[in-house]
Amino acid sequence: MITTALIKIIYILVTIAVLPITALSDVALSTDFSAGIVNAKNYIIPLNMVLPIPTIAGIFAVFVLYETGYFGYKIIMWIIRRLPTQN
Amino acid sequence: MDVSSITKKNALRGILGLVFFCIAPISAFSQVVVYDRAPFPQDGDYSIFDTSQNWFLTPLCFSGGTTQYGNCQFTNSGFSFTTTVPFSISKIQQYAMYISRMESTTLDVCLDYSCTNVVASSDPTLLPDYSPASIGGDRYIETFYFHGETLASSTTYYVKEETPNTTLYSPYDHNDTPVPLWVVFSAGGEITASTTEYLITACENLVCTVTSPLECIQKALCWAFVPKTDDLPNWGAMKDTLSRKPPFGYVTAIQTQLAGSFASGTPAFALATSSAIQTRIFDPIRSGLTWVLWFCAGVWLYKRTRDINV
Repeated sequence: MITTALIKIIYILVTIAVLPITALSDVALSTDFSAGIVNAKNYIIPLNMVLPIPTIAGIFAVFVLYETGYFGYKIIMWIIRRLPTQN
Repeated sequence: MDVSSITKKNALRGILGLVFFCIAPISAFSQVVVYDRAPFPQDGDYSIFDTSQNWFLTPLCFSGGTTQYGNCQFTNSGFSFTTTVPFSISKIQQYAMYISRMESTTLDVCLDYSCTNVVASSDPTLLPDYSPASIGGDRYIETFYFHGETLASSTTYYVKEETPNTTLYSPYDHNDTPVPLWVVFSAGGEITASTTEYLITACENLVCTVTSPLECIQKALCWAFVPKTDDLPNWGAMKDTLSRKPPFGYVTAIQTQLAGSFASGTPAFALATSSAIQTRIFDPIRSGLTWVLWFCAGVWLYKRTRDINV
């Protein structure tokens, strides 16, 4: 009961938080864009013979995730500081 | 209560305490003994969930010759199945009277038949001279280990082998006579959604009587802390929805296009080399660069975190 209630509360909060995103329409990329990505991949594949492309992509993903997370944290803290009695 | 008196440290302690308060009782009940290997299925065992035997298999696919049972659809190179509840896949066990295979193989769980969108991949299984573990008689077992990837409900998944020139199963005995073959999904050893399912069933089986006060306490704890499957919101559906919406949808779309290893695909051009140069020069350089890049990334992460201002 307690766990269920907690999970439901978290679910409701998350649902409300992502409501603006879920209200958007689904992403639909044009076939040209998709073909462009595949072409780019096909040009990168030969370089994978010498350079560890998956490693580079993974490290780049880590950078993006880290900076996005930090940026999100700063936004949340900025909102919290707007609350009364919080400084 | 003065809100300003709540420090970040105390807030964190409160959250951790709340999480521990809810998780600890569940963890106590989660000491489920799951056999590493389930019994060999018998004809008609299409849906096995036997808590009295301390093992569970779900769902069960069965193929005997041209006959198929369960909620799996077999094809020439694999099979598909549709989940009814979200569950984590930790291993797929394949039972057979006789299995022929030639080399190492990996199972992929995909969202489409052609396996362009892989959602889970097993560890490579090395079979230089095929010798599956015998479990008695002419029965053999093959286990493909995954890393506990969670599969969303109401989705059809396709299971195929990565290596195209091997056969997922060969339902023939030594005399080329079709024999029954089972492919079984089994979970064990890890805390998975299936374990939660087991936990819920274990709670339902508790009987509170005067002679068993301990079960009364367990039943009370179950009521308080063990969530009901029907009550749980569908987090998987939310994740699926978000993965289609911007900005996440763009990442998903690009990931779909880039699906698969960089080692596969059709190169736009070819770099001239030889296998000797590749093995003795390029491969060591590539391995070295991998370590150097990850080390540099670690240093960057350390310095970035050290300089961060919260």
